[in-house]
Amino acid sequence: MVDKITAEVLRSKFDAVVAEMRATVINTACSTTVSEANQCCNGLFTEAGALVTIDNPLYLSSMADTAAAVLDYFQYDLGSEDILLTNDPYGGGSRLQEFTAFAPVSFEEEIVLYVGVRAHTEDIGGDLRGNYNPRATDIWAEGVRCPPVKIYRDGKLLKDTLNTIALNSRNPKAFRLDLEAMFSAIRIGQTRMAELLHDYGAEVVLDALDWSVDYAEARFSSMLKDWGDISAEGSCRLMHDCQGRDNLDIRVRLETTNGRLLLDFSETDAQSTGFINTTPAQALSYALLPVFAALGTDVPKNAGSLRCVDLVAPEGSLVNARMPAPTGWSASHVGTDLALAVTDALSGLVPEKVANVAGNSMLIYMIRRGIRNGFTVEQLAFIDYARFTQGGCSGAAGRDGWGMPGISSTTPLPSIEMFEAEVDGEIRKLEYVTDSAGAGQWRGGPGTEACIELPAPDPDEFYLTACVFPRQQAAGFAGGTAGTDNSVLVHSGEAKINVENAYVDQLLGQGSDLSIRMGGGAGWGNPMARDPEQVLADVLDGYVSLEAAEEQYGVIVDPEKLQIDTARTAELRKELDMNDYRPEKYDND
Amino acid sequence: MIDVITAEIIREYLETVSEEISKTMENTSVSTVFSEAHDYSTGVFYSDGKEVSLLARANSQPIHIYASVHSVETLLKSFKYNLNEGDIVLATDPYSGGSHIPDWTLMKPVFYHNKPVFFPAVRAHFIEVGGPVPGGYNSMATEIWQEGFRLAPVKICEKGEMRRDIVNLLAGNNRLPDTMEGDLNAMIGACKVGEDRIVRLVEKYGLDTVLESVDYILNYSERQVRAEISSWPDGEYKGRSILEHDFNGGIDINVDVTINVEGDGCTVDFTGTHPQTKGFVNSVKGNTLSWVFTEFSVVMPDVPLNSGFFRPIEVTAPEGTVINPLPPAPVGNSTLCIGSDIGQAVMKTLEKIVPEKTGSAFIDLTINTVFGLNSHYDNQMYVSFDYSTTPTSSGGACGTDGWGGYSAPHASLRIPSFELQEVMYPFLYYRNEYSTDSAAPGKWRGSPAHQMLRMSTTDPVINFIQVQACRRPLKGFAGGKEAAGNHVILDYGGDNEEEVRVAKADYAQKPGEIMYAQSGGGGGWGDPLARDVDAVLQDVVDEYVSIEGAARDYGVVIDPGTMTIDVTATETLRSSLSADPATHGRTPA
Repeated sequence: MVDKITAEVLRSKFDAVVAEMRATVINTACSTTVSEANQCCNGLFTEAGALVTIDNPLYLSSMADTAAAVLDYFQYDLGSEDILLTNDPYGGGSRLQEFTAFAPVSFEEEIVLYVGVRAHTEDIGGDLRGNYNPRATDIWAEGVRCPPVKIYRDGKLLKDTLNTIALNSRNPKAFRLDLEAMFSAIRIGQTRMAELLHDYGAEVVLDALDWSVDYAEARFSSMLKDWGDISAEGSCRLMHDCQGRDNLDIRVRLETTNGRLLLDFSETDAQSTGFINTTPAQALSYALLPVFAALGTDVPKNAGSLRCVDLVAPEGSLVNARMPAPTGWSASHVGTDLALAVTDALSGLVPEKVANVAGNSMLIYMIRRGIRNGFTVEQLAFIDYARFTQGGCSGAAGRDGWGMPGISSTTPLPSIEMFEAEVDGEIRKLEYVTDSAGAGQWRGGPGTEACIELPAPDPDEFYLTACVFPRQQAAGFAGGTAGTDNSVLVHSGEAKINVENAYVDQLLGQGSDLSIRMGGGAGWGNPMARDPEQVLADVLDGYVSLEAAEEQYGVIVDPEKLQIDTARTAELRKELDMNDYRPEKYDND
Repeated sequence: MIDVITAEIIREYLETVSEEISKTMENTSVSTVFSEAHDYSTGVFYSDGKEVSLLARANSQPIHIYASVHSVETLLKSFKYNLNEGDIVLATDPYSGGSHIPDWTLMKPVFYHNKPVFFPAVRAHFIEVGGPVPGGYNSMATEIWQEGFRLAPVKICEKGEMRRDIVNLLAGNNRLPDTMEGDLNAMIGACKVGEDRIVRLVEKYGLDTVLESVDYILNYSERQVRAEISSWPDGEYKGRSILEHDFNGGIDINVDVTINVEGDGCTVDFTGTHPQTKGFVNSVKGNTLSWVFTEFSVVMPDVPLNSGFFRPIEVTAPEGTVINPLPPAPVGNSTLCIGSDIGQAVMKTLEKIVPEKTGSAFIDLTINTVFGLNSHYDNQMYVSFDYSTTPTSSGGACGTDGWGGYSAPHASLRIPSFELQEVMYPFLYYRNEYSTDSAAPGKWRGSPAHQMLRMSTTDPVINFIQVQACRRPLKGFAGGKEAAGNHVILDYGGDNEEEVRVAKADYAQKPGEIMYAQSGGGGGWGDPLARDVDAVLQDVVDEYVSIEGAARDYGVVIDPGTMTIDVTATETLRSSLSADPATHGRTPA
């Protein structure tokens, strides 16, 4: 049996291997979805298929389920030089355009562990380029399903299989390059693990893999025990499903019993006709985000932590849609709503540990259509504005929200220059909005406003899709207030459209522009408890106006000298506190 | 030197093999599209290492099997250095040897001296192929990806072992995976039967004799065709047919043909044909060639059909046109529209050379995809085509009237039993019959138009309907009149009566609601005034023609009391009508 010190050293090394795989796929992928937006994940699995470590918790449970699915599928038919490929949401996958490559690592001609990588390719067929189809009512309208297939057999590429899958992409060159990047990451993972197996001996490394899983279980379980046996309920309401159904409720009952966690979604509403459904694998990844956030950074996220969790997700509900329901946008909705519902449940139990970890995002993209041969109209490009729709994240005990992007997002801040170089049109404005953050002892991150001039028909035409969701949270946390709301305003020719819920694949006129307002994050704690110096700093930074400083925080700042009027502030705060003043949501619209 | 008796026996044997493949398919397939409607074709192909030849085909859809020459060529090219005994290969993609996505070609190479020599093959129209619209007829498609799952040439079976992952990839992209697998197995079984019969043939005669016979067979057909073409006057002949619309905004899409007869060969040139269109009527080259050869085979009915037949006919299909589009133009409906127009344009050109051999050898279909849930069968989903919207397209030909079904090249398509349809789907047919005065007048009249009234019974029926030939019905030949044209009316006799003249997508026919469809029949042949008066009387007795119609269209006067011909009055009327051909033979709508 491996000693704990060596095991822990190796555990860090496993993380490093996965990090190197991540760097490989990001640095070598062709599609900006991976190279810029970093939508990918990498994992390491034991010989039994248990997830040991993953670089992106958004895919925790779905990668674990994918591994189970592909190993079950090929359990008697897997060679040490094979690589498997799948994208099936109903086999542990996330969404169709996200492909997972999965391969064994062998030692002395025996398979001893596995590595896997998932990356977001640009397109995989279906009705709309990019595979975000708000009109889809089944999975085939979103794109092509790829149940587990062998893409390499005995080290040889199966060209007919690759050709078939690539034929279904509107950008087959980029698709093939993205797959190459994934295979490179696989090979990096295989090489590094082979080195560890060689250097430390197979027995030690394999023991360390099992130990890492067991350790995570023990750690997760013991921290849950610290919470005691508790039970709480939480909910979140999704305002619409982009297909005319309003007010979809996610309800969760959270229970901890002797170090185990139960997440019961029995009372959650029935599945939608649209693309907001999710599978249990995706649902669990999102539902666990606030739990991991509350437990802190030293709980490893792997199969061990998942062992402590029981998920009840009734078939036919939003969290366990029946095949072939569309699931294309589940990573945003209902994914984030699940996280919010769990956050809601936790906020009464461990208020000091709770904040909104889910992203606040909307779907905004354009499809460029043009005539290339004869009268054939092609969808030439998918232009994603998701990078400009990352709302502010909320404050947490001890820390202000830091503006975009949200904590759970792996997407870095967008480079305006890069974006303008890639896409026609101009970003006129991208900045924080004053008084958009929720107030609190720790305020939320401010919301943003982006003004984007859209490219003019040239003669290619541009079709806009925008799915707008109001913020679901009614209030902030532990006495804080909510941030402002989201909105999208489209100017298309003469028309001015304030998008209510879904604006799907609409032709844009000459001189169109887009104004995206993302709401701010919620505040944490009583705003009257916020350090007046911090409020002043916020005023100086333009996050908070003089009026809001007074009304929301009870801090009076001299408009000339920009100094705190200490005496009047103390008086005002005392008065506001005595009246049990709860500041209204401050809306600067 | 082979003796011709043996060669002829081997030729007939190969024809029988094709027929046996066909019967196996008919008797073992799951879908009624195959077992009842016969929407598939079978054949035996041969490769001499340089080119692929069709040796024999069963009495089936010629547009399928001629296009399969191209499929087999593509399959051989794709697996040039990688084809083994026991392999079974499948091709479906229009831009990789197919015609439209639902037509799958499966072939099993039979090896001699380590080389693939014979290829028993089945091409079948699958009812479901994934993609945004069940059934694959997506009239909104502007790109091939919107029509279904694309499959590059793949080995479905490798060295005798089925590739489960590829079969599951097909099943994963199919709304009726069980049916699909059943039909795929039927195709495999049929090809294996073909292989067995070919092996027995070679065992009996020896490979050399069989190959010599193959040469003889091909050369024999070539000689016959060259002899026929030699009897045609040299010269340039032109013809045109216009498709009404492309279902997606494009109208009046012309197919222009120039046939240049020179000695014992001819060229068929499509220069001047409409550029590729936005809608899904573009025909890939394989499909276009199929239609050309179909029409030529109609004017040379006695020549055995094989690749030798095609040799004297050289086809020029300019790239980027509706008859040879560049990807990713959608092609879903091209096997019929623009296929029929390719056929009609060629036939109208041949009319100028051999009028007595011409007639309607194409179909002008109304496509009616129906799907929904059937409460009789536990709300199971069904997807089917209702062929009863469109069962007649045969026209008159020199010496015979249209016989009331599909035109000759499609006559193996059977109309499924209406009773069976009513058992399987929530349908009730009120009418399925010929209508009076709708047959295209001619010396040999076309088939009467067929009228259908179908009610949905217990459950709503979702319809995708695509209609052609409302404005431009099938033409007559050698002075015969044009057909009655197709008509579709939704909610027939109801409050929301609506005529479909182009296409209707996703139309939900409520229980109790009636749909009307007229299938126009084919064109007439020869001057109606030259029709035998007794034949006209017989038509009146059969109610194909009314007494008024007999006088108006044929100049035949019948005494309604005695039901006899008034000979004198008929002579007078005929001579007055013949002075102005425009005054007679017009069928009222």
